[in-house]
Amino acid sequence: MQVDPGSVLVLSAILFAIGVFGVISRRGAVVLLMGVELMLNAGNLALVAAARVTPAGGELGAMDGQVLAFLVLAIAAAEAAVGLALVIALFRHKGSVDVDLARMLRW
Amino acid sequence: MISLATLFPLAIALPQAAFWGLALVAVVAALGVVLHRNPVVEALLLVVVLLAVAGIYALLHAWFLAVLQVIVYAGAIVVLITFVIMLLNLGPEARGGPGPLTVVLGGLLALALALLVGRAAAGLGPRVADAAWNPQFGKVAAMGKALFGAWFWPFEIVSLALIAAMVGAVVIAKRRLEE
Amino acid sequence: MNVLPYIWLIPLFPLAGFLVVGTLWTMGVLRGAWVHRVAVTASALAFVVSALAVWDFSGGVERYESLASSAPGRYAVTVGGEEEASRFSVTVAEWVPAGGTVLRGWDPGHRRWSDLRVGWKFSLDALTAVMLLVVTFVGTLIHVYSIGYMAGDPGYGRFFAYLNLFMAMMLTLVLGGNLLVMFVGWEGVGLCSYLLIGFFYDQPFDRESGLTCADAGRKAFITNRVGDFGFLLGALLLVVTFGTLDFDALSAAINGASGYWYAAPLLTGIGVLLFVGATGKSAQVPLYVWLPDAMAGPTPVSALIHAATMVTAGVYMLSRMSALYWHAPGAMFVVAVVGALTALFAATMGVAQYDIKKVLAYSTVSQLGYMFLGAGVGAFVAAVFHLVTHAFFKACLFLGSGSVIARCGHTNDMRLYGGLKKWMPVTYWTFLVSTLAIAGLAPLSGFMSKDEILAQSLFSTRGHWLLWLVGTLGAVLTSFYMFRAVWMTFHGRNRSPEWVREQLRESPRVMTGVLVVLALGAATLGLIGVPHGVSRLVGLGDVNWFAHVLHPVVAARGVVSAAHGGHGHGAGEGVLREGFRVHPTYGQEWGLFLLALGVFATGLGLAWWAYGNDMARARALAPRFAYVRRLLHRKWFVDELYGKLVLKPFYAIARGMDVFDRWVVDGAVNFAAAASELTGQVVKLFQDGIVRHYALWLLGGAVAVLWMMMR
Repeated sequence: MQVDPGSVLVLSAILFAIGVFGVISRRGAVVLLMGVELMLNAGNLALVAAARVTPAGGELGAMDGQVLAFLVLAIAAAEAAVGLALVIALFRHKGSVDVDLARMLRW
Repeated sequence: MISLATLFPLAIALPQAAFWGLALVAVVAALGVVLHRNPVVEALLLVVVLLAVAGIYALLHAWFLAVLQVIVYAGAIVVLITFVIMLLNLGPEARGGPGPLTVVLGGLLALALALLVGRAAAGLGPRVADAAWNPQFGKVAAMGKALFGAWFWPFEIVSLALIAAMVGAVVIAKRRLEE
Repeated sequence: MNVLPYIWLIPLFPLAGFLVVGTLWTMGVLRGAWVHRVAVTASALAFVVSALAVWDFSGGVERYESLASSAPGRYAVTVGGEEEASRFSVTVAEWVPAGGTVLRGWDPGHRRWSDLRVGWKFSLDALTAVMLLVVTFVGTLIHVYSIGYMAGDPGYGRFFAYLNLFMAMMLTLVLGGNLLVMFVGWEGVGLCSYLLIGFFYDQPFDRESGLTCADAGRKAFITNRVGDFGFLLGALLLVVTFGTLDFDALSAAINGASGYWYAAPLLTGIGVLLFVGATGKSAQVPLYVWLPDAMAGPTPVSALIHAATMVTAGVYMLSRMSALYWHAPGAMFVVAVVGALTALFAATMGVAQYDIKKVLAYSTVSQLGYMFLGAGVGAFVAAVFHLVTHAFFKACLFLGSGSVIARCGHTNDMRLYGGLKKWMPVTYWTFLVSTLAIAGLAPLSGFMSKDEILAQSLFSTRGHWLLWLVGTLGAVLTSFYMFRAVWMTFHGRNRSPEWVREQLRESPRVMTGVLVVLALGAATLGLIGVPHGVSRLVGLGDVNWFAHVLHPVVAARGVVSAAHGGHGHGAGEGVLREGFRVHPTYGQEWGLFLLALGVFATGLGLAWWAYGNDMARARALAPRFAYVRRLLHRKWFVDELYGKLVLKPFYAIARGMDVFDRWVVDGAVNFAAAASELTGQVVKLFQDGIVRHYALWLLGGAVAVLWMMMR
């Protein structure tokens, strides 16, 4: 008996929704980044669950989902690094990490 | 490779129940991340979420990925976040958050998203019979073969991306020369 | 030599001159003497090629028959004979490609399709030959004269460029082989008239009304346009009725198709409409009002355009469509009446003008009236002959007046002239010769042509004694006002201011040479067209070479059911009759001749009596005729009448349109712009720089897409 991949996808959807809600409703830059990480993780979950139900057409064919999840992981790490550097720069300029203060690019 | 099955007999025996448990933990922790005021608490709750997800990976037999999740995400990224929180001495977020309109709208839309995707996904039952599942699924060797075989180019490019991110982070975060 | 296939080059020479002089002078490349060298050369080349073409044509067109049969779309040759006049045509290019048009046909139930095909067709026959020679010869002479008259003017190059353009357009008009090509030239000369009248564009012209020369140009153009509207309607009716605009085909169709009783009303309508166009272009009542104001332009312009060539285009057009008019007696009658009226009416106004150019302008209107009178009574040959002689003596008169104007401090006012005979002998003698010609002294050219017109108006099948009477009265006035001008200008005591008197001398040879040539023409040209009535008196037979050449083109052909639009029942058809209704007897001829002499002498005598002796009696009698003088001087207040009747309502409508344009049309456009801007202002509020809001919109969009995908 295995885990039902459908429910994993549902979970992934819920986590994604929570993540996006966090991005929208919080003003702290660090929290924003955590929300983004949540979304990425949700995506990864979906990928792996889908990979699980992909038939084994060949030895390598079935690994696509996991490899993708792996690459996403790496990119998430990179993005977190850069994002945090941006947070530091923002803090240096504005004295706080409130993202609403970074609104120079407007009409 | 040591089979995780020997370490978590309950997980093997009742994978679905285990899944529900881990799912619950993940959701609660995630809500905590987005709702709590203190950044340190949020970071710790994030770790909980990540570990739960790692557990789910394991339940799905994606062993390698589960380990990677723990090492990279929980081990490196959250640590980085914690570094920054400590560096900037971030306290609890001040009162007077975003306007209620934004929150409500955001919440409703997020709910809508979840419902939509969930409804689409829920019908996705086990498609393949047990016997047809790839026994190599989740094994390191298979992963290695894929990474250095068909996925070679993306792999190298992602490494480049990592280097670029490193350089970028350094450039963005370093002090200005005249300071 | 084979020149005829290249007649289409004739208008191209002055057109090239226009382009070259126009562009190079504007760019500053062409300066000074080179301007007139190029322009005069272009005009002279047109003359030379025209002369060669006419020479070639006179040798007979049979030589080109083989050419025509080998390329029937390109060349067409008609060999003269009983039924038709000689003609050569070359079609250079397609213009309106063949397309269908429904012909009204002659029977009510008979509609048929016709292929209307119009090409750039140029044709040469005797009538065109006459016009070509007149236009190019007189035109070139006036180009030469302008070298002297316009010397030093800042717009020297512009003047010659426009003059060349005018030549090109006029030549296109006379060479046109169908109504459309002719219309191109027709409109083109109208344009050049506008450009040249308004040449000194911002200089004041009429001190009383404050008009500038540009206003005068506009008046000319717009009045012309009114006439052109009638012309176009007539042309369109022709298309619908006959399915062609080609002169050859039209003449054949009209001559052959007049057996139907309702042909006459239709043709009469077309004839009148076309004549409306001629009224505008050739300054007849009621569209003559532009010509006196056209004197705002430089004098060579007045001479060329408003005496010799452009204004004669109406007469040419009528003669070209003579077949139509022969078969539309009603229209011909209208032409004759209008012509006679104009002749008299304009002459009355010429009597009371102080501006020498205005006198000549009214004289031109009057003489044009004579030409139309001739055409209206069927004497097309006489009308065209008068056109030729008028070109010479009127151009000479205008250029002579230009000579006087230039030397007297650029004033046109004859009250400031006087006694110029002493200082400007050549101008005086040429002016006098031309005056004798226009007043109708035998055997000068004016006598030959005018006398024939008057005789025809009395004796022709389409003539009437009333028309003759009006014409004769006009002739008396003509003689009077012309000699009045001569006396006021050249005789008596000089009335110019001191500074003018000091520098009075004859004009340069460039100008006087032209005057002499034109005066010679005015004197002698009559001999090629001596009317039969006159040659009888000296015992000769028919020596009218001109009529012999021109008559085949304008002769009456075909049959008509009855004269003056009768309602025939099919029977009673007769051959169209032209020529004299009754042949005047020898005695009647002598009577007419003596009468003409008397008319001339009366005018001369009256003028001498009133204006001789340094205008003694004129001055004395002036107060008693004050009311009449004012009426005539103010041109019977026609301009004021037009102003109230026509212009005021028109301006009111135009103002209404302006309001509509500014509020409704512009309003709509402005509204569209404002709407866009408003939308932009609203949308830009979304770009507030806050990333979270952007994320919210992204989420919203994603939900929407998902929703739509899953429905």
